[in-house]
Amino acid sequence: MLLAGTDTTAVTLEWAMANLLNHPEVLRKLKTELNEVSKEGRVFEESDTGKCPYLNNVISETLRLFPAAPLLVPHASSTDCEVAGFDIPRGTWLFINAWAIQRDPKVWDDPETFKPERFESETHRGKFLPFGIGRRACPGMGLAQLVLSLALGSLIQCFDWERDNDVAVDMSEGKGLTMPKSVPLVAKCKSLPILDKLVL
Amino acid sequence: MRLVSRIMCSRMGEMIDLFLLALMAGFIAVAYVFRSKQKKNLPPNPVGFPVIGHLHLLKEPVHRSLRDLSRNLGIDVFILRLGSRRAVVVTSASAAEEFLSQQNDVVFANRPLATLTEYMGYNNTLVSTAPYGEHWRRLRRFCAVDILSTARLRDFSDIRRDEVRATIRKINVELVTSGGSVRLKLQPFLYGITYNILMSMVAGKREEDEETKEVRKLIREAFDFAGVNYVGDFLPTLKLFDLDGYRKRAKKLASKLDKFMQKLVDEHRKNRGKAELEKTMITRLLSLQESEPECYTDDIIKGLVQVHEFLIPIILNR
Repeated sequence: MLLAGTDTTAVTLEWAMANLLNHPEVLRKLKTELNEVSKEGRVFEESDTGKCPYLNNVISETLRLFPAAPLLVPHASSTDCEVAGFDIPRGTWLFINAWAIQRDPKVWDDPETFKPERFESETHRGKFLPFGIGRRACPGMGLAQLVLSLALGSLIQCFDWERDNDVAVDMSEGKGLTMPKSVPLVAKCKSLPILDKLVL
Repeated sequence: MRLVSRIMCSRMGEMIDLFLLALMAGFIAVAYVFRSKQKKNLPPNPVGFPVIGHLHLLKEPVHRSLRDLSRNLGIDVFILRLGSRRAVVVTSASAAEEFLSQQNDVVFANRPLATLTEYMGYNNTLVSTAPYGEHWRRLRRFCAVDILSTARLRDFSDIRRDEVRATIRKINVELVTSGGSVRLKLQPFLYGITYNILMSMVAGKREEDEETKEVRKLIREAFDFAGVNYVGDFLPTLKLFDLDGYRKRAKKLASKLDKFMQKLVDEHRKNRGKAELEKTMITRLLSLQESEPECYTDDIIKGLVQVHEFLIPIILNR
């Protein structure tokens, strides 16, 4: 529980923030949505996340480009079987390259671009699988979605974020199990008046 | 003389019979081998070396090198030999669906076994690594119903709110001390959120605790350890000798981690009925232990607390 949930979710939050800093227009649009939902100047709540489709699309788009388990978690076959016209012997390991599938130009338009809007219209069945598929799929998906949207929504609502300097945030993937960011994200952070509601 | 030649003749006849029989048997054997060879239609594979197979083709980050390999070969399903293991790599949405569709999903519901899971995963009894079967289904059901169901997640919503707000306050403290604007490395704050949420759900603890800090350090260590590729998982003969001391180190780390996990469980046992522990996962598991002691042993409970999704041979190059 502790291991499977901690790193994967934290890494995804970091990638989401990095993407937002590199795409100020997306960040602006997200902020507008969040402020709209908590108009009376209250701090973002979990119950608000259902009214924030753009926030959820930002998270989906982050998971598409930067899935925390890029090769999912490997499976292994228990008997001989035939799949996709091939014979697969018993005991074969199975690696599904979710990262590659989610950037496949044959099934995604402009796959390398961070574009949360694509989740408004396209259907994603089969080609979007950051939590795996089948009976071994990640059972923590519901929890991850809740934590991701509450944490990201709150961070964006409560602070003004900017890139540390004028160059784009480095988006290369580092070594490690959960596809960490190669260069840890450093950002400029400013307080917003809404914080008074929380701190006092 | 005639008798002798008759005997000779019949002997010859027998020998010819025998010879024919042997020939036929040989023919059948060859045909069988040939047929079974023809029947096996394995996915294609790149050119590999003896012994190591294709291990040399894997470069960091592995998902990128596997995608490039698939592009170079022009196929979305191919085989790699990783030492003595065989792996099939799938790089298209349609093939992925075929591999994990209704009927094949059960066939591929096992996990590769790794040395690390033997030591740290309570002999492969974790929900993330256990082979498909009764035991795994029970653990999976527990996770789905008792911890991660919509209703249970709603019960834990205060934890999530408190932890996210605690982190926002922490960032705010940094801002106040530096005049309203600050350069922040985000990682520690983000990890703080996710770790504290899980630790609270599982054991009713936060990082403020000295002990919890220690567990986090150990988990970090286990995680880094799991990130190292163990060559013995691909070439099992090397495992026998343990020349690099990998197994020894894995055992030591596992026993340290186990001690802390046991302490968490014992503490819960001692403080049963305390309000702050009422909702935790360990409390729930301990009550299941009372009704089904053979299914929910301390080892199983400790395993669920840890759950290493990644204690599985991950193919990274060394």
